[in-house]
Amino acid sequence: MNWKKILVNRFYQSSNKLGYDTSLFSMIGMGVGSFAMIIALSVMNGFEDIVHKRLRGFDGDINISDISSELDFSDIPEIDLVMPYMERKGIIKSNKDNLIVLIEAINDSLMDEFYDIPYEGKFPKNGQIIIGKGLANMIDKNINEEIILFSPIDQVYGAGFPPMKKMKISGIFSTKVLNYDESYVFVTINDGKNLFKRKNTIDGYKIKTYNEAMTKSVIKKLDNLLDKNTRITSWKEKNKSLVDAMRMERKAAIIILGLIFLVSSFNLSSSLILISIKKMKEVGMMRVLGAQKKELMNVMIFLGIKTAIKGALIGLGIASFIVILQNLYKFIPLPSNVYFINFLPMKLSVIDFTLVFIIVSIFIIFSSYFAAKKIAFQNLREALEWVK
Amino acid sequence: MGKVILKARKICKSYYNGENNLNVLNDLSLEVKKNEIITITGQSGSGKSTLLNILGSLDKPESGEVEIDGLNVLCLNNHDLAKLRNEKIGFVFQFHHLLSEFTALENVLIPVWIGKYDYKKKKDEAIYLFKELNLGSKINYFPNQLSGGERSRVALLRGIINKPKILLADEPTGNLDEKNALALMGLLERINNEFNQAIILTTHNPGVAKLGHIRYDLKEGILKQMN
Repeated sequence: MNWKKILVNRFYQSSNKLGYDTSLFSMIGMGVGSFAMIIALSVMNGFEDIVHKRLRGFDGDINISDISSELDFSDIPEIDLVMPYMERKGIIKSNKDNLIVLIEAINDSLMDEFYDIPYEGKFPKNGQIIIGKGLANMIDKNINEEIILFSPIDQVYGAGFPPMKKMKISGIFSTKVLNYDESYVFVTINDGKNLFKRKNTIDGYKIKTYNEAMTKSVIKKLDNLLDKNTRITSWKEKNKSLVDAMRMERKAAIIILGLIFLVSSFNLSSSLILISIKKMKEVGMMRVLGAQKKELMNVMIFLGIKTAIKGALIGLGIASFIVILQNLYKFIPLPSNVYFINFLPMKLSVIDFTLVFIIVSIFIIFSSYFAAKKIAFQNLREALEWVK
Repeated sequence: MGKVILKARKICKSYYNGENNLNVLNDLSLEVKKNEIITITGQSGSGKSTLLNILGSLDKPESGEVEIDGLNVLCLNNHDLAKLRNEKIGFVFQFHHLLSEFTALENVLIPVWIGKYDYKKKKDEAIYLFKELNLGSKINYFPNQLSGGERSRVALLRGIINKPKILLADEPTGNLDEKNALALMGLLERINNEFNQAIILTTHNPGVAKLGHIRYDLKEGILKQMN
């Protein structure tokens, strides 16, 4: 006969009658805490995921630069796409303004396949350029309008001035990530070779793997394959400050939201102490009848867990349900002129769910432990006097 | 001569009331044999409950020794003490202290749940005893559905269900009317006769005290035999 289980259930039923409000508030506290944590983490995950996708869609998984000659990657089966590029700082000239930009000359036949970025218009052919929306606004240009592009460091030998090229804007992209929309322009590799006279060979490669998880192993293989002077960076390393900032933000959110649990657990602890005091008579009597202190302490801990876990599970359940609904129906909108997305992104990972559940459980167990310790280790004579 | 079940030697206990140390028990000694009913009378505050708490291992004396069925109670650890209370001591209190969340039958079976007993056998025994005490129809009643007399009988059944070596009854009739008090006294006598149950009973009622084979009066921390 598992008397401890019976005792937990009976105490739980009677505490629901006696201290319904306190139990309810403890449950709500835990529920709100776990709800807030899951929603906040899901939103952060959602945004992180989109930022990752945008950055990966723009930079690929791996960037190889400082190469001494053209490379062949056919020996690495994990590599899906390779985009050779030339890169220079240049100047974009319009009627309104002259602005410094980063010119990327790339293989136009692979552009559509390689770049995963939102854009209007088309990717450029020879004589065309695609620019960021921020830049387009700054120079007040639109699709099909013309700009002049040149690279100041690439001077034509003897002439003393760099070659300038009039280019038609074929498209405008909008990543809304970092300052990419204000600083990057893309032209074809042929146009690049015409503009970059000083060195008109490939500067590097952008690589996409079949799966982001393969990045590490591909970098390892490339490290072995390429000479020491070649620089290999993952998209995470390239955007280290952003990735670190997002990680830091996430940790801070977990800690700050953990404080909600701390406050809830104080509430839970005081409710449980109240319930425990109400049960002083019964617990004292159980000890008189031969129950061990530790057994009764376990009973009180399980009583605390039973009181609070329901709230926490409800909070976790509702939050998870909202995340699922948002992913299915996108019913929480975001102003698309402010954000790079028109709905609130939410992504719930098993790890986060488990993490929140562990945090909740730890707080509940600690709160229950303190309440249980108070009563189970009460001097028996005092407990009996309390009984009387 | 029955076997000595409980032996208390030179028990001393005092309480500090904020100003003075009040000596409640002074070198108190007592022996209880199997089949013996000991009654202890005394005024309120004379230390009857304190003595019973010490004899029942619910409290510790400042000095002295308590032996129950050959075991030195003061040398036992928490685990063994709990086991001793479950197996060798039965308790009955003035206010019965039945657990309100459990039915009458469940209350009686709680010591069985805690200890290692044949549950089915004990349950059958409990039901038999309920019937014997005219409580057969009340086994599934909760304490708040029972009268004072019925509660005290249920509490008594809980005290004896594990067949303890000694039953400690702290003013069990204190909260009962005369009729129910007499019924409970009769029951205690019957338990003593039928199960050879050693009983220590405290009371401030001289009528109830007559139940004892040996009667003591507790005054100034010392037990004085009355008969």
